[in-house]
Amino acid sequence: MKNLKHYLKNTWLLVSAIVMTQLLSSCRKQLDYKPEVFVTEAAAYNDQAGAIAGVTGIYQQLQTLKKSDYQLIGVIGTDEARCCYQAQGYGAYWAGVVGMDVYDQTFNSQNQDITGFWQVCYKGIANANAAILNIPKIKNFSDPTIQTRLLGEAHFMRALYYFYLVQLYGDVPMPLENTASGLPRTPQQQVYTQIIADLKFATTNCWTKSKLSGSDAGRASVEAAKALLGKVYLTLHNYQDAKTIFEDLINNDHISLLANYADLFDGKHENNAESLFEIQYSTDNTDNTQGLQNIYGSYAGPPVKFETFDIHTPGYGGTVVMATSYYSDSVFMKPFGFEYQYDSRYTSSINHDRYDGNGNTMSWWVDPGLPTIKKYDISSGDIDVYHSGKNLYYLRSADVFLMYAETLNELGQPDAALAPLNKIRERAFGNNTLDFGPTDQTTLRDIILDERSRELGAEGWRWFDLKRTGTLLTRVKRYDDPQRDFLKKNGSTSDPHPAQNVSDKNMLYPIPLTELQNNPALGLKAQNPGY
Amino acid sequence: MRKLLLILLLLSAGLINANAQQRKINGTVKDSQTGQPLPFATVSVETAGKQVRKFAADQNGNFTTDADAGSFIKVTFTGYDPKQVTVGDSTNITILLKSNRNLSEVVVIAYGTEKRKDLTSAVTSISAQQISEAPSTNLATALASRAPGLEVHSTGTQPGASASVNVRGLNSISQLEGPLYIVDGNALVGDIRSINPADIESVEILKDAAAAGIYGSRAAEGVILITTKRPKAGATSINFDMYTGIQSNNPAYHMLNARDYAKLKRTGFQDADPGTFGAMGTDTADAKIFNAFELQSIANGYTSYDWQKAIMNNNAPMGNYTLSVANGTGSNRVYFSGLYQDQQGILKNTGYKKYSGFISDETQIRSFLKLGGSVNYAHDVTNNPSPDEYRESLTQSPLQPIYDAGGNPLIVVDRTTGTPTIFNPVTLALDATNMYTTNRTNTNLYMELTPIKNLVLRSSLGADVYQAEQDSYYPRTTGPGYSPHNGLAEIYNTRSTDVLWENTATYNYLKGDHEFNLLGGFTFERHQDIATDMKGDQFPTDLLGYKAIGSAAEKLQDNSNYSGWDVRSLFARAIYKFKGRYILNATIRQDGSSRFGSDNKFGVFPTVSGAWRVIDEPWIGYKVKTWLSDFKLRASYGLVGNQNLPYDAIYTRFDPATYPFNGSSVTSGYNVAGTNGVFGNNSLQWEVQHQLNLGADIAFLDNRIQLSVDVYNKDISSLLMPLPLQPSSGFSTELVNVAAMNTKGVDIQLKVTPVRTKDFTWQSSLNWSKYTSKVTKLLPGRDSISQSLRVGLPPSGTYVNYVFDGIYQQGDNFALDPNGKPGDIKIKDVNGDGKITPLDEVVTGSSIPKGYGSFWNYFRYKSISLTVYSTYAYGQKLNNLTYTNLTYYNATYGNTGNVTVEGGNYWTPTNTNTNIPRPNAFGTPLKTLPAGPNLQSDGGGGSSYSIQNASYFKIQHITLGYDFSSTLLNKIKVHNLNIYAQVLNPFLFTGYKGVDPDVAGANAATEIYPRYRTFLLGLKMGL
Repeated sequence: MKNLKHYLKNTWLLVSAIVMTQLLSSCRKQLDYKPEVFVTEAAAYNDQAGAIAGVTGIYQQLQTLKKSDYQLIGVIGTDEARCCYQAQGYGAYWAGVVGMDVYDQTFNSQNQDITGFWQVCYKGIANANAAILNIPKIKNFSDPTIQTRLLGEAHFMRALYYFYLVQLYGDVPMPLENTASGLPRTPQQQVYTQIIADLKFATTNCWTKSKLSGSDAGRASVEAAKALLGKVYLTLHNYQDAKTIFEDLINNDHISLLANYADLFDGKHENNAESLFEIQYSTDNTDNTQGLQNIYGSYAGPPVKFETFDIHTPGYGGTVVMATSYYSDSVFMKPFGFEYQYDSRYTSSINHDRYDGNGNTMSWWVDPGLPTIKKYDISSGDIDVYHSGKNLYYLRSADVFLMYAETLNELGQPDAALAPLNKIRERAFGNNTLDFGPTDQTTLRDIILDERSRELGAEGWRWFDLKRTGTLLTRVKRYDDPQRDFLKKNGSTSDPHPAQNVSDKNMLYPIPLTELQNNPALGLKAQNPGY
Repeated sequence: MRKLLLILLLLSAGLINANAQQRKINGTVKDSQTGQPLPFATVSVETAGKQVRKFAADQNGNFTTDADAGSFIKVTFTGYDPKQVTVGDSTNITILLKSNRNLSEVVVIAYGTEKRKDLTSAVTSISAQQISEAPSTNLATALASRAPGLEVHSTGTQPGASASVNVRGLNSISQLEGPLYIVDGNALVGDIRSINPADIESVEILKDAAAAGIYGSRAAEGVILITTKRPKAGATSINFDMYTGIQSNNPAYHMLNARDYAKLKRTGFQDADPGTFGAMGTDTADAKIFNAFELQSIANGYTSYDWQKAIMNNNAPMGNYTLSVANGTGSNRVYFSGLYQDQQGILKNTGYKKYSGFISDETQIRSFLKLGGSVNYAHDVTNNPSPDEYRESLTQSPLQPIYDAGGNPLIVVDRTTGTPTIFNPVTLALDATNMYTTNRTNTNLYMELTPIKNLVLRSSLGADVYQAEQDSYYPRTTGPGYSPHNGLAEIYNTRSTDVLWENTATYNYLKGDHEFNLLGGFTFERHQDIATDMKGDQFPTDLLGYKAIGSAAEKLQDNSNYSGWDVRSLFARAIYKFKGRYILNATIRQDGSSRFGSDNKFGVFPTVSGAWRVIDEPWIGYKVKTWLSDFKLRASYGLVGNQNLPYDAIYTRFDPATYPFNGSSVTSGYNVAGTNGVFGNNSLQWEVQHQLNLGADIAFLDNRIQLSVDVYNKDISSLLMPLPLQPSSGFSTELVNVAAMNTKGVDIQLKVTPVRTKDFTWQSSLNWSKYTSKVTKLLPGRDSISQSLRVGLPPSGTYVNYVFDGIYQQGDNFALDPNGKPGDIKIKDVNGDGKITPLDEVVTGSSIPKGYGSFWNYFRYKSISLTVYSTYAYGQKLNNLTYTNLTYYNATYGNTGNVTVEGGNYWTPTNTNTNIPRPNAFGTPLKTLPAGPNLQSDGGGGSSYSIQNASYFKIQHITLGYDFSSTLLNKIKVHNLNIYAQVLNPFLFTGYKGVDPDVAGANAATEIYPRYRTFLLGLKMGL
């Protein structure tokens, strides 16, 4: 009896010991709890669908960068566009926006747009870095050609963001993989080297436009990568490489222009033949809309006769940004003084007059009511001025032709430059009667710069064009001084328009204060000179 | 057989030596429990009822005396029951005295029990009797101040209110979830209302690291062990407890009557804009500021309507019934209990109902095998007041009729716009639903195996399933549900599941002066939380409410969240006792948690503690022992952790992102550094607390004075803080273990028995605790994050405000407030720069008390007992947001309805000696002052206008009881019967001008429920 009991006891012990060791070891494995309401980086980049989704996030940051006032960087503070002085009274934030136009004391390291632009660019870079790191690791990609294409897109996008950063802020931290540790500023030359490497990768791995059809339209293409690479070479004044790549685009990829300039901005020709890369918006989901008309429009009355304005009227808006008188009038009259009447770009770019409900022109003595920029007016398919589904151009063929003209001119071939330049003019005027004839290199430089405004005005490149051509200070001073211009026109001395303060230091933007404060590798002394 | 022979032998020997005969006796007096000799015990010899000799034993408890056979030797010793032995044949006798100090009192500790006298750490027990002394709907509130170091605040006075519990001050900056409750081995956190206080045998508060450290990474905020009742061996019992009574309004606020209100409103409009409103008091002026109903009331001679009464359900009944049955006979021991509790609220349509059942069973299957298990299920429903109904009823115009001619609550609608100008809070009380329902099931199964003597193997599996649902519906008759909402409903569901599997082995070893107690074990715990939230408006009808949320035309919220974690732990403990007076206790626990990344998955938490029972040292003379009855010193040091950080903090989240390729086809994607922008930190680890505790237990005069003192110091490091990242990382923050804080304090418990006679007893107990907490480190290079969170201040509870500096008088200099007028609030220019700027905001108070505790008194005369329990706290301040609202007639800061009688003493040119500003129907423009009296929505802190001293002394209950005599009870076959009458919250002594200063949280003083007293009759019966 006792033996049996003893035996029983030992069996109990043994069985429980075995069970417990088994369970204990299985518990050890359980310690990796998988989150269930979000994906981690590793989980996201697990298959083709995950890679596509991850790359989508890179584009979304560009969409954010261009959907509202960050888009003004590159546009205002140039000879093309300026802020309405009223915006200063909308509060500290909008006073900072005005500051980006007149480079006043609010053009500083705490300016919210200067800070926000930096942040969003780096968010885009973080998304691109994650894609570039993880996509090659994915095994069993259902379509390996898509794997390389996505990698190409990620490289293109990373280059795009760094290209903005290096032009605006100079030497910038350059994380190529995501880390929480702060990095010091990388010299501009090295940043450009990386941009060029990324774009070269993109030119060989992206798909051509023709292959990107249907729901893939709008992705970065070979043509886009080449065009951007050309722009980078041009920015670096590397005209030889720029020439090669532009000629490749024109001769081998056969980039073309739309027949009618007006079609570019009517909202009905998205991802068209001329478009090389555009930022996609849609009214399907209000998160995917842009609200630029609210910034570019004016509340002073609709620009369309017999319209009464409301938030669904083209041209209605918040009166933040308007055309300089240079862009709204003089540049379209150059050089002959009358041609704006024949330039199809003029009516597509400028809302020159505003009307009351009876169709009479309204006259104003201050900014509301003055000409505004029309390219961002909503069209029939849009929700309202805050929610437009209209895509925005990043790069289009016309830009390439003008950059090619600039390249040839800088290479000392002003005559050869006329062909691509006049190609643009012929589309604008419908014939060659207003073509430019042969002239010298210096004169042509100015002509090309003016032509860029007429063709690409307010599309986001002007500040960079002026910086590249060394004309930022002179042109801004000459064409964008709201106070001087107002005084000249109205003669009043008690005028609230701010004066232009642009100076040498503004060739670089200030590094945001949050970056200097929170980056252990920087500190407050790492600021650009003058800020 | 041998024993029997021996007894026979002894008996016969006794018979032989029956004759009286003097003999020399060698005696020894010892402790019956420990066997330790009792030095200098008093020995007296009595022969034939006469004391013949009295002397003291020697220092080893030995004595020698001559005694006649048949005479008595009587031994007494302080702290022990006296004992008398008859002198027989034996000349060597050992007299064992039983301690009346109850040295064998057993305390539940982590994974076991320990004799109170052998404790090495800071543990306070709360008995079943104390817990059931006064009724509570939530066990946490029953514990309030019962133990020093235990700080409990109810979240409000409404039925079913929850409570916040702190053990020994503040223990973290950002990661708080309250103490860990261990109920019969099951781990629970959060609200423990599901446990019926009547089922509890004892509650132990493990306060220091040595006591709680074996729970490792979950012990940061202290551990509360709850032990439920078990049947007494060999006995059966049936117990029935009940009480019933009413709750009666005890108003904290007295509002102005109709006439004074009319005057207030006229004054408020008058000087703001005399041009528009003309001379006040005229009919034309009145017509501009009062509506037609109010004018009618004025015309009728200031008819006054009592809005408070309209939402009040005064003398609301409440009752509580518990039946429990226990069977401790046989090898199967069962305890069963059921509870029904119903408390109607004193606001209409509020109340609390609970149904719960508990069963536990333990079976000795074999001598070496025991199985057991328990199930507790509780279901409760709380009908909460709508957050605004009480406050709105206070501020309603007393001139405004409550009901329309049809008897329905009157809502005044503007005819031109169709929108109501006056909502009626009565509709919030009558029509709105605001219901909180919980279901909680705790189950526990265990098996105990004793393969060899003194070795116990135990495996238990516990599960805690807690489901809670918050439902609300605001119909069109209420402000929140009116147009444009047209009915507003929300269903918010949460469910948490916690499974804990524990395996332990304990081994006891005793040899000579050495005693070992060893414990080893491993546990695995898995926790999951699920939450779903639905919110909608635009209901076709108000007939159905939240249950038909599908009929809401517009979905406002449609969300779910799933989270969870796993912890796997190994632990061991060794207790070593030498000679019963030197005790050493060491524990170690290793936790591995899923909340931590692969770099820091495991944490180790060691503790060590020791106790020295000085009183048991032989060199303590017996003379000392005549006044000193206990003296013990304790010391402990150890680490405990806090794993309570976001379970996802180690991950970089990919949040949803979309992009519409080709214009309209929206592609779903992910966005790294998305919505929350948090960079996952794979090397996150526990917040760690290093706690030192020094304690002494000392008792005097035969234990009539018992004092327990503990001092502690907690250095808490690796506290989690969000570190702002440089934007060039693409991310905004990373959680890092970087901050540090310190909490130190004193806990004292004093128990005295001033009177102890046969018929009359008076016992008293006083708890006093004090702590200070301060942040010692925040982020690298930064010693402040906000004005109230900075190094040197407590991590929470600090008020930073502008300083209220009285009221501007006529002729004052208005340089600081150029738009100000006489009668406006004056803000102090603290830094004297001639301007009011944010630099003038200073610390104006802290909600942390300088000291708090309880005072308990128990009187017993024969069968009648009287208990008075009170709690107190002093030195703390509260921001009484309601006070501003109820005293300041102002469109911007206070309210433009009725004010309290105190608010009626407002400044006027003829009433200047007051702190209540002038009434101002148009509000103070925001630019006038940098911030209003309390206004958080200004973006800045307000002023100290409503910061009030919240020190209080509160009589929690007075209970008068009667125990029926057993003679009487025997006739009716009742074992024991106690009846009592009780009043809860009879008196509150405080300078605080709100409902209750004993509320949780610094900003909790936005009051939603009135103050009331409860009168109860109860009985406790045992069969």
